[in-house]
Amino acid sequence: MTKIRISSLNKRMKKKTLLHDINYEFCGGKIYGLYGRNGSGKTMLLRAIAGLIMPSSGEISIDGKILHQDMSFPSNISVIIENTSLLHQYDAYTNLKILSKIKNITTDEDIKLALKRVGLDLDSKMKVGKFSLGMKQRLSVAQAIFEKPDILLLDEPTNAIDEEGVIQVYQILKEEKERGALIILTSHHKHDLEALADEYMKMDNGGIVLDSK
Amino acid sequence: MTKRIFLTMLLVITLQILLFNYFDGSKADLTGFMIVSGVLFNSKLVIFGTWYIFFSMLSFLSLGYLRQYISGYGIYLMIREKSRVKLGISRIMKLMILISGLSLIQLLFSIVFAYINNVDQAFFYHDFQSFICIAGLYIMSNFVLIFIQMALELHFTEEVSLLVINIYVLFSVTLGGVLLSVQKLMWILYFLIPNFGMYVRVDLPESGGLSPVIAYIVLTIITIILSVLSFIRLKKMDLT
Repeated sequence: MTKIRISSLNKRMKKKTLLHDINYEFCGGKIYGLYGRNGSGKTMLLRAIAGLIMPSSGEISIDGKILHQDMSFPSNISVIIENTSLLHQYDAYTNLKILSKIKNITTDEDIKLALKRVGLDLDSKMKVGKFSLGMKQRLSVAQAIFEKPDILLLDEPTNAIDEEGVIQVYQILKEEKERGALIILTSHHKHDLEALADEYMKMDNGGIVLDSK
Repeated sequence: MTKRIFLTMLLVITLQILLFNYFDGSKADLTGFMIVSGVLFNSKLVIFGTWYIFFSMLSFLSLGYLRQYISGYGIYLMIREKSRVKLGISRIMKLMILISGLSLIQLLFSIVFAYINNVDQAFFYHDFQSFICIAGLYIMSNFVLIFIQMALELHFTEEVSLLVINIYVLFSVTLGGVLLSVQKLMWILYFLIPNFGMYVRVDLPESGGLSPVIAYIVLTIITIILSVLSFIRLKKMDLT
């Protein structure tokens, strides 16, 4: 099972503290929820774990390997993070096909299955640029799960998705957890996470101010 | 690059050659090297503008070429590639091929135009070796200028980088013209890269000019420095 250990993590940018003295341990086969108001540091923490930002001090280790020292990015990770988008000029299947060529560990069937799981039409040739916000978010979820990652970092994964879709996404996350994946997701509200997360923590001013452990 | 953009580039290249020929009748007799000759220091402003058409297209075409791979969609690619530098190298290599390819197409158009117009007087029929040397300088200076734009994008927004490199190009050509006409401080020309791709402008016997060998060395050193600085920056920068 994958294990992420965060020790005394701090991140400052332009004289502003974005993450403050974070210490936490995450284990595979569990869903963790981060909640807090806008700018509380949820997304920044996900970015730090994904290896996208460099800590000002402290460290993140994944299965004993220190991020940015032993590796640039965690192995077998998927993310949904704000400001990321797929290629608008291609349809959903082609988008995932292009991404699949990098690691080359998935088959066409895996891609189709991921699209089916998030409720997108397999035969549709509609370009992503013409997708509604909800459809784009479903595709982002498909992008995150289709390679069966060990670590899933999801920044408000149900944003813009309708009620039926939210139930679908929650079901997918439960299945991914059963598979052994380590899932960390964020939300503005605690009640969004209560039904799903095994542990949840509140973030404020870049620090974890409350956790359910 | 999409087919539409490629066709637009071809259209621009053709338009540039026709404009060069129209505005600079004296050079029409020597049409073989009007692209690499660039802008003579005593040229009319309209010639300067005609020369600038192609570079401004290259610059716009490259807008965000590296930046888009370190944000947005690039995040999905990078976490799968597992390497910031590998993705950076791959983008720079593709950029090099793109810029060289388009500059080469522009030169080929120029040759065809020369052949149709004035086959006997195009200089490269007599001195092909020199042509290869100055064509190489032209292509390499275009690449280095766009590489500077890419490197700037690692520190500033795409728009600021585009603005800075285009101001530098316009300033370099203008200042180069002034230096060549007053024949003073000629060493400054080695810091004004766009002039490297203007062989006839800077290599007129009376102007003292640039040494092609030194120009190649300067461009190679700049490329190495830019590569090292870009990769250090790529390794350490926050991807947001």
